[in-house]
Amino acid sequence: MELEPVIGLEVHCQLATRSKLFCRCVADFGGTPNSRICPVCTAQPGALPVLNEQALALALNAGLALHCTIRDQIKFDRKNYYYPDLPKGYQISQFDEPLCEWGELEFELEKGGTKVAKIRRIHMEEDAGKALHPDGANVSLVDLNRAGVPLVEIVGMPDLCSPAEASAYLQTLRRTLRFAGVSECDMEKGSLRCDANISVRPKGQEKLGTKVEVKNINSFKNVERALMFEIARQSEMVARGEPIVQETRSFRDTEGSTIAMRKKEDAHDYRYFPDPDLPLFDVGRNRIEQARAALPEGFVAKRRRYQASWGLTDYDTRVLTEEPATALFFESVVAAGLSPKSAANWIQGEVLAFLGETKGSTKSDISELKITATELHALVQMEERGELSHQAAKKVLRRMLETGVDAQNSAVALDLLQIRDSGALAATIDEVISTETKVVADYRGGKETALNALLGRAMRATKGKGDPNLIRELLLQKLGKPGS
Amino acid sequence: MDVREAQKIAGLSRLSLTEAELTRMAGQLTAILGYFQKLSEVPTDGVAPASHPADMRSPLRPDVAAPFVTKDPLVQLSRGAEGELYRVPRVLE
Amino acid sequence: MLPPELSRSATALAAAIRSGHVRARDAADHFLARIARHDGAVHAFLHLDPVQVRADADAIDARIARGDRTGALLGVPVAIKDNLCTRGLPTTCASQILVGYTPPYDAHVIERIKAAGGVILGKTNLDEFAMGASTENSSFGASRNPHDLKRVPGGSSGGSAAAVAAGFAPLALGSDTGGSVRQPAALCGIVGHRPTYGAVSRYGLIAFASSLDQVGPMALNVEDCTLLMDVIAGHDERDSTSRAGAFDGVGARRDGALTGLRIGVPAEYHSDGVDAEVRAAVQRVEQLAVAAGARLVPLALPLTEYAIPTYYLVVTSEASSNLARFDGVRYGPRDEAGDLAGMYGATRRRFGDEVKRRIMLGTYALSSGYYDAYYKKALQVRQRIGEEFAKAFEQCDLVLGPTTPTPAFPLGEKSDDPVQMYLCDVFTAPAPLAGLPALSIPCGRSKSGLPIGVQLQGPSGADARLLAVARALERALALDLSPLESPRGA
Ligand SMILES: [Mg+2]
Ligand SMILES: [Zn+2]
Repeated sequence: MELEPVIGLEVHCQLATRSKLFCRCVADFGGTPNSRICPVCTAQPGALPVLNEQALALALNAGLALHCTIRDQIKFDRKNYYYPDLPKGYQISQFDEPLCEWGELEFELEKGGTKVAKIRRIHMEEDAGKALHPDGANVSLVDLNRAGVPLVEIVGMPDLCSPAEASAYLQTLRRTLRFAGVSECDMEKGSLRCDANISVRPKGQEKLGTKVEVKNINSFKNVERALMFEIARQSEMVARGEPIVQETRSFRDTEGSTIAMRKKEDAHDYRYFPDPDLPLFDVGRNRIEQARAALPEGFVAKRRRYQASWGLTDYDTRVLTEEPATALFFESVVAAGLSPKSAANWIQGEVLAFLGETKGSTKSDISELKITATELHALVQMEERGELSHQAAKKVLRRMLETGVDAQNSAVALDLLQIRDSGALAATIDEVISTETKVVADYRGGKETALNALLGRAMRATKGKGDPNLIRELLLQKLGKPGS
Repeated sequence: MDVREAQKIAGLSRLSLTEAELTRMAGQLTAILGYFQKLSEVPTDGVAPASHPADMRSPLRPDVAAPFVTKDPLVQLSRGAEGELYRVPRVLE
Repeated sequence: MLPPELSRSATALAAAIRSGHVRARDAADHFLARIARHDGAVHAFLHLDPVQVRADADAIDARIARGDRTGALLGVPVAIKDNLCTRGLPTTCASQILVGYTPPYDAHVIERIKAAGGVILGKTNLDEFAMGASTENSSFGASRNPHDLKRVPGGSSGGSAAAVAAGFAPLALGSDTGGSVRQPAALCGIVGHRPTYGAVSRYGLIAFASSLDQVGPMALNVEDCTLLMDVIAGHDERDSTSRAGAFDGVGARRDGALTGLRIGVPAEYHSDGVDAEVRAAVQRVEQLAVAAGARLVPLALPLTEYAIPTYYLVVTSEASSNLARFDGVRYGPRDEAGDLAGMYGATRRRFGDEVKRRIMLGTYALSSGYYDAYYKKALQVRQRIGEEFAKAFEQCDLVLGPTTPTPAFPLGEKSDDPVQMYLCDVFTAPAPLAGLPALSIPCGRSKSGLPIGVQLQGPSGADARLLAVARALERALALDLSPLESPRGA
């Protein structure tokens, strides 16, 4: 019996706001433990929640970027359970009326072509704090800095058929959310977390098998590892005729395996009910339409535009739309006046290579560049004016990227400005002509290419700084046409 | 409500009740719930549940971060303060 | 000692302090002395720090000496129900689970009172977490009715009501979820106002049932009640249920014209379940109003009898969730008992019986399989009760009736029968379900001298109208509204 896996992902991602969802504490990653807390997020008696407008705006962007239907009126519900990292004894979430429903995400398949996976719902909720479990001690320690940080939970339909598809879906989802400005989606910092629901069933069977939820998948790489392990485990159980238990399992990075988590005995009775501290919110058709109009351009649209309007290659557009900051930088260099093709070449060839080397990773953060679009444009203009050779321009850019010093000053500091003074070059050329008698004779004898050899000698004599065009002109002046 | 059910509800509420308390509680709650049955006399087909007084809408707050300023760190209100952290009996994963 | 005209009027006292005739310190000393002398018998206060009170009063006097006379409550002491957070002053909700807790912030209403120059006098007794109608559920012992020390002062704001009636404080704050300001006000013979839901910020009010809780002023007379209402009402951006412009302080001070006023009189409020003396007292108010030109409009509010089960399902459901935060982790006492579950259980054993009962009831009503039959059903009936009121207010300007079915009952009489205790709220629970304002003013006494209250209920936002009409009725009734010389019936 051939089995096929059925996979759906549940993604929690942190909305890129300055403050928390219901209080004014800083929402960023980091901070010393419990330094970003207040009466509201520590659930002091009497404290009350007030919704962050930007969190709603970003959740709305997530829904729009994923082509969801948006509710124009929403409510928040309480999900009641006890855990030391959950200060109020309930999480403020959305239960039966999420902000967004029925969206979709198109992603590319390894074998070519694309697939569309359905998004069941996107809702807003607050994060819990963090419980640490020091080795050997019989205590846990709680840090509430994260408590109340705004999240969206994006629940995908079980439309994915392989670990590779799940991985492609997640990467595409991440890029979509990043381009929409919704979230950093950084798994290392916990601003993107992914749980996977997975079951297996005989190929062709309509009915779904018993699903298992895998939690604590802590990297993109591990999404595939965890799923592959689970498929193998469940398939073996089916082969042995054992029933699969509906349960939650935890991924273990070191072993690449999953283990059953301890069951919370009341996990299935969260007693959701409308939060009485938060009456209904009017999202409003206006707000939704304004957000739709103002939604940042997605990477798919950008790729299309770069190719259609600017004639870039598929490869170029992909590199430039890998990260929103790269696309932004590219577009501002073009806006500064550089041709799209030239801008694409410089950014891909030099800028990204530099970031790749210095950051030692592929996650080049172009937003940390020390140069502006205008400065890159100024550099390219120097080359175009002949003040720098192409090779020199590359060296100057490297210097600019390292130090943040502008093109002119970097070029001077590196002593790479071309010698464009014919008086200064005349002496060098005279010397070349007088020493390279053989080559000069060849030229005069009609060998046209000998001029290039002389040009090369002259360039070398100026240590590469002579303007090649000017040198050629001067040589022609002195020697006349070949064979003359 | 029987004692077993009362035990389950007490568990959900994190209330630890003795056997005698559970028995008494089950009896009292049964009486109260019996009285509440009265509500079934009120026709409510198609009536929208009102979780708040009518026409109430929540406001939105600008996304401005403003740290809570206090003389003593909030953690010090806890009997389980351990440095900057809240200590609790170990949570099993 | 303050002269009688100042001890029976907060408004006059504020004016006397502002004009320099009386020092804030003298006022503080007057009330502290009365508390020292009589609170042993009444037990209105849970926390009192005379040193701090005197220091705060001195600070007001220093301000006045510098020429700063701003603030509507300049130098006037205000007693605070102990479910309102006060920075630096213990706040316990009369519960063992908050023993030793001192909040790191002031409730919005406390900020307002301080900004108005008021002096926080102390924290008053209540039924634990405001769950009750007699203060007998306080885990620090019941308060007593100053008119008869063998009887309850009502609840849950019983400490605040008793403090005002006994002349311990000219003003007090209570909170009203299903009658907790109005019922004790009626039983103690004072004025108590439950504002329109949202008119007063709940920020810093320790939640019992969030969709009904409102902070309300309590005073000896309507004018003083209005004075305090005007200070505490207003928008607060920290409470999502706070409404801007919900209270018109100027309108409230206008003497309400009774001429032409349409007073709704529901048949259900005159049932046999109401004590004869209470019925007679309320009828006398109706006659006085008619004599002054008002018109009585007979009404039917047939859902009145369903308000109690509706109310108790809604409040217990919300409370079961609101009280989950009391787990010993971040504040308050912690009782270690092995593992985490043990710690939760041991710590939460500190809740009293009524609180545990309500948590259980609410957890049950929300739990899977029962949600629709109990919680959702209650919300639907709540919707219908709101609609019934809305229809009534098309025919009348306000609804008049008894605040409570009986005058103050003896301590212990109802404490073993939860349902009997719940029925105390029969006339006060409907308005909160609909978010409506309501107030109680004294309207007479029983033969044995127990105060009787009459309740006015209005449409949403009609607080000013209610206070203005109450003021006119108060004048027509011409009762003696002085605080008691000393508690009675020891
Ligand atoms: Mg979630
Ligand atoms: Zn906070």
